[in-house]
Amino acid sequence: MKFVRAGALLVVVVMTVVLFIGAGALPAIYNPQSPASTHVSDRYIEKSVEETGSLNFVTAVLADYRGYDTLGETTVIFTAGLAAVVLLRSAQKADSRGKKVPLAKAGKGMSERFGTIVLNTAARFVIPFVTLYGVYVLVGGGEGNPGGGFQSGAVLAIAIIISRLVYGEGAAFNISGDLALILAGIGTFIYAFVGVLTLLWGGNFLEYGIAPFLMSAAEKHSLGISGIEIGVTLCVMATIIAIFDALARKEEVS
Amino acid sequence: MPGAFFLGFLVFLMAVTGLSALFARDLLASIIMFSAFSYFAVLTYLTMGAPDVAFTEAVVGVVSTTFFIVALRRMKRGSSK
Repeated sequence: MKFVRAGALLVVVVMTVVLFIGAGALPAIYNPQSPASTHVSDRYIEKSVEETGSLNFVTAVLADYRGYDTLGETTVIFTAGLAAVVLLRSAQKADSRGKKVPLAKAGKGMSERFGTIVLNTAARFVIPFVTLYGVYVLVGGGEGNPGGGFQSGAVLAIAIIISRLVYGEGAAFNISGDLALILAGIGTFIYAFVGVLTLLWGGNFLEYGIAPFLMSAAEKHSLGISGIEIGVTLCVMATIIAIFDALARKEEVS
Repeated sequence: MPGAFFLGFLVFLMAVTGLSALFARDLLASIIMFSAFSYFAVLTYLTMGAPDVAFTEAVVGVVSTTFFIVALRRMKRGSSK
């Protein structure tokens, strides 16, 4: 045991030294001559608005130029959420075997347990604004504001988690764990379906410009970006809710 | 362009909060320190001029803190020792 600990310490020290040496060789953060800002960045900065119709470079790169990578990330989120839910639910089954859970005890939220009117009233004011902000982040993501599908999905999920925490499992503003898993699948499907649609119209995967609509190329790209952002939002929101539901339900059963 | 001193200060605070999250006896305190670590990471990204990454980090920090606290309540164990 002592030997293992000494070995671990040695590995950590060596890695720290190597990382510090490596960090010294990195270009400065705002250096215009650094490799990151010399090759493709200029093209994104000059062309992304007229090519994709998105004022936010980050959204343009994530959802258009590198749309295939973002599809992979969305699939990773979906798969990770699925794995977490499967693990948590099987552990919960093993835990509650042989135990009878009284029904009245299972769907109680924080407000019933602590009986505070403060939480109740605060949640009533906070939840609509958080939801509205989530939608604003989704819509404004391509318009020069920071934001986009991932952030929007997480903010919307936070709104529902607040509702779950305060009003319990019987909250009116709620998405159940099973429905959340289905929604996560649908979100990932929407993303991939946009890609398949462009394939069916005879283009490359996620080549938005091929859509047979009477629009300019930039508008077609905007439409495609909106489509996949909605998919990402659904997937992220539903995955977070599904994991939270699996965690919280486990707590309520025991 | 903000000074390198401010950035270094933020990174120092990240190190402090991260280490105290590691060594805190109380697991709830550990979670709160981790949340503070996430907050300083947000400020660092903002200082470096990456608002999109900062936004993502802020949102993920909130969500992960919620997950940790729900898991902690499930564990019924307050301290690491």
